[in-house]
Amino acid sequence: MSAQERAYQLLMRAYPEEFRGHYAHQMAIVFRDLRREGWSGVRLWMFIIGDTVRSAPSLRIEKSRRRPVGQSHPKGGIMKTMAILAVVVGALTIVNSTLEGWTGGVVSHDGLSFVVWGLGALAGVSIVAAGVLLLRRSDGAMTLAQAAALACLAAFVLMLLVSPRLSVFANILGIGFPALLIAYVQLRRGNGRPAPMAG
Amino acid sequence: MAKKQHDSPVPGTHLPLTPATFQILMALVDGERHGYAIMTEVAERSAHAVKLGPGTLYGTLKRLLEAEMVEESDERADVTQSDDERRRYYRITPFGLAVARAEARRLDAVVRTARGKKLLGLEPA
Repeated sequence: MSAQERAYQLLMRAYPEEFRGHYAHQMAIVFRDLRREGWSGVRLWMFIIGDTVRSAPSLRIEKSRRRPVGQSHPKGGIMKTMAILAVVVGALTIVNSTLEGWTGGVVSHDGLSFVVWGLGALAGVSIVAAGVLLLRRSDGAMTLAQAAALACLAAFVLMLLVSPRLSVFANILGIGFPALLIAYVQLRRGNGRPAPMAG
Repeated sequence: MAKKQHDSPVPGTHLPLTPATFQILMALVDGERHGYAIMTEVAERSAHAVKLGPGTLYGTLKRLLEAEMVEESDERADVTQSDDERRRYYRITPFGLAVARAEARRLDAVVRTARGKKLLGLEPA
């Protein structure tokens, strides 16, 4: 199995376990087919990450709705979805800022683009770290996850100050998502101990 | 595959279908296909306007299987590939065909209305 296939296996963890059990092998074959047909690099990964962001949350929501009462851990399920989304959003942010930094900074020799790339990469790494910490589910990890989301928010606000012409989508991802994550974790901690992890 | 009772056997209750669902059902009307064959058929038929990723494809197939619009046929190895590449093939059921027909009729009515309002068939001024 190639490194790219292993990376896709990792990304597939965004899908519910039951779904992966049925379809992960078939999805891996399709991924291999795409590569055989010439899909590669940024084009392949933008397509695959975009597809995962579009399809995985709805499958997780469907799964949590179906679980019988008494067996359910819906809050834990939402927390896990938030964690995986944080990792995916962070990875997208890193890829996007690297592309913009490369075209703006390296190609045009524009120093400002390097600063924007650095801040974008910092925001991406911070939100990935927040996602990974959320998966650990301890009180200490929750605090660190909130701090990482705050760092992402701060990096993004700095980015906006340096380069105010970012798209609405970038604003939603860069400000809306970490703010939502901080608020959700705060709410969950206010309601008591973290729920057991589902899925 | 054993036949189960549908909770909602009336095709109209499943309408409107999402574009991905309708595209997949249309890809299976001509015969059974595996996942990647469905993806390429949909992309080619839509002049690459609709590109289904693996997650969207198998997420939609899962829902279609649950709604009994599609069923799995035998798993088999691709003759050109290794045994590791055992692919699942899917085929449309009579119920899935009825739903696809109902959706096609619904879209046809929409297009006829658009034509009646001269939204189609006229070049912009």
